Amino acid sequence: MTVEQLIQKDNSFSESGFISKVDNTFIMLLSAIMTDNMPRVKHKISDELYNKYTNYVNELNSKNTRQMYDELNVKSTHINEITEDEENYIIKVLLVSRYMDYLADKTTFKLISGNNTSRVEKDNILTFKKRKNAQTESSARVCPSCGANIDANSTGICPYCGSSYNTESYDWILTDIG
Amino acid sequence: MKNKHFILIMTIGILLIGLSTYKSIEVKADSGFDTSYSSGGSSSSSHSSSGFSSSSSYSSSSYWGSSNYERRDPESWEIISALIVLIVGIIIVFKKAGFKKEDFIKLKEASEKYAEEYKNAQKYAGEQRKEKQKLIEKHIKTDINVFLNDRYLDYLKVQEDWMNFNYEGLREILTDELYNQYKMQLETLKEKNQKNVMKRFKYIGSYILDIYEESERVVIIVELIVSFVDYIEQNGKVVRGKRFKKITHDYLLHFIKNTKTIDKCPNCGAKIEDNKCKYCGSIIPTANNKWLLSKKKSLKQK
Repeated sequence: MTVEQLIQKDNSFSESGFISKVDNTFIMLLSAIMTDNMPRVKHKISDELYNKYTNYVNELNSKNTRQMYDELNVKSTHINEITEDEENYIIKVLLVSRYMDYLADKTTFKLISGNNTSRVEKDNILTFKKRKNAQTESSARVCPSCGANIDANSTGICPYCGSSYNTESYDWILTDIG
Repeated sequence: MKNKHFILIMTIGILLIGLSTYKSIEVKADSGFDTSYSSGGSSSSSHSSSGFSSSSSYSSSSYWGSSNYERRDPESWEIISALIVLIVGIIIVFKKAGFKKEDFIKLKEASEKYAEEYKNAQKYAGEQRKEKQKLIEKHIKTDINVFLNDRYLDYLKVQEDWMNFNYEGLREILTDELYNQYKMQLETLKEKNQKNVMKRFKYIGSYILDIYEESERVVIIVELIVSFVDYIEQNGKVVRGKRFKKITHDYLLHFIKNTKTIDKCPNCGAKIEDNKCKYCGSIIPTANNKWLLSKKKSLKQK
C-alpha cells in the first residue's frame, strides 16, 4: 500500500505528522529506559513492548546498572512498508539513530561497559499499528476515567485520577523494534 | 557498437562526476543533540551572551526568500579547464572506439531527445514553483525576509530555552511531540548534572525550501545556516565539544501552523487563547495558530 492509498482509507493520516510521531516515540522510549521511567511512555507503546523493556530495566536495577543512550538523536526516518490486516493498519519504518550506547553505574554514572566517547549509528525497523476503527480524538482532551480536562500528550497519565490515557484507541502505537 | 556507447557513457560520466565534486561537502549538543562533538575541550572560558550579528550583504537566491549566504561559483578558468578536459577526453575515446558518421548522428538524436525532456522538466518545475508561490502568499502574511527573521528568532529561543532547561519556554514554540522529546532529552542531561552551552550565534543565511498543506495544517521547510559555539559542560568543566570552537550548522527546520481556526472552546463555548480555555481549563492542542517548530535536522556541520 502507498501513502496515498492509506490516506484514502484514513483521511486523518499525514506523512510528516506520522514521521514526527515515530521520532518522538523512539526517543521517548530510549529516554524512559535511561531514566528508569517506563510509565512515561506506556501510552505510546504496546503492552508487550512495555513489559519487555520494563523487565530489562528491572534486571539492570537489580545490578545497580543503568542503560545509557547518550546524546540520542534521530538522523533519518523512512516509511518502508504499509500493510493492513483485519483490524489494523501497519507501518514499518526504517529509523537511523545516533547515540553512545553503554552501561553505567546507576549512582555514579561510571562506565561499566560499552562506548561513552563517540556516537554510533544504528538502524532499527520500527513497527507501528493503528486500529481501523480508531475513534476520532476530540479536540479537547478529557480523561476517559474521570472526565477531567487533561493535557495527555505529555505523560499519558491523568494528573487527577492517575489513569493511563489509552492512545491505542485513537492513534498509532509502537508494537515492535527490530 | 554497444562497447563504443558504453565506453563513451562511462568516460563522460566519470568526467562529469569529477567536475561536480570540486566543492567538497563535509558532514561529521545543540538542542535535540544534532551536533556531533569531538572529544575534549579547554578549561578557561570567557562568557559571551547569545545573540547574533547579521552579515553585510543580501542577495536573492534561487529558492524562495532571500539570503545573504553566497555559495561559491566556479571561477572562469575552472570552467574552461573542465571543458578542455572534457572535450579532449571525448576526442580520445571517440578515436579509440572508432566512431563513424552514423554514430555521431545517433548521438545528436539522443542529445535532442534529452534536450526536449529537459525542457519539459523545466516547464513542470516552473508550474510547481507557481503553485508554491501561491501557498507562500496565502500563508505568509508578511515580507519573506521578516518571516525568515522571525523563524531565526524562534530557533534562537529554542536553543536558549534548551540551554537553560526552560520547559515552559520550549512549550510555547514547539509542537507537543517535539516538546516531549526535548524534555526527555533534557532530563537525561540533568540526571548527569550536565548542561549544553551554546553561544556566539552568527546568522549566515536562510531560505524557504518547500511549503505544502496537509490535513488542516500547513508545513514550511526552512534551510537555516548558522554558526555558534557548542559544548557540554559538567560541574563547570567541558566534557564534550570545545569551548572556543565555532561550528557552522546547516539545518532543515520544519514549521507548522494550523489552518483551521478554533476560537471557541469545544467543551464550554468560551473564547480561548492560545491552546487553553481560561474558563474550564481544557487543553486544545489544535487551537494554536502560531508557527511551531516540529522538526530540526542538521544536514551538515563543519
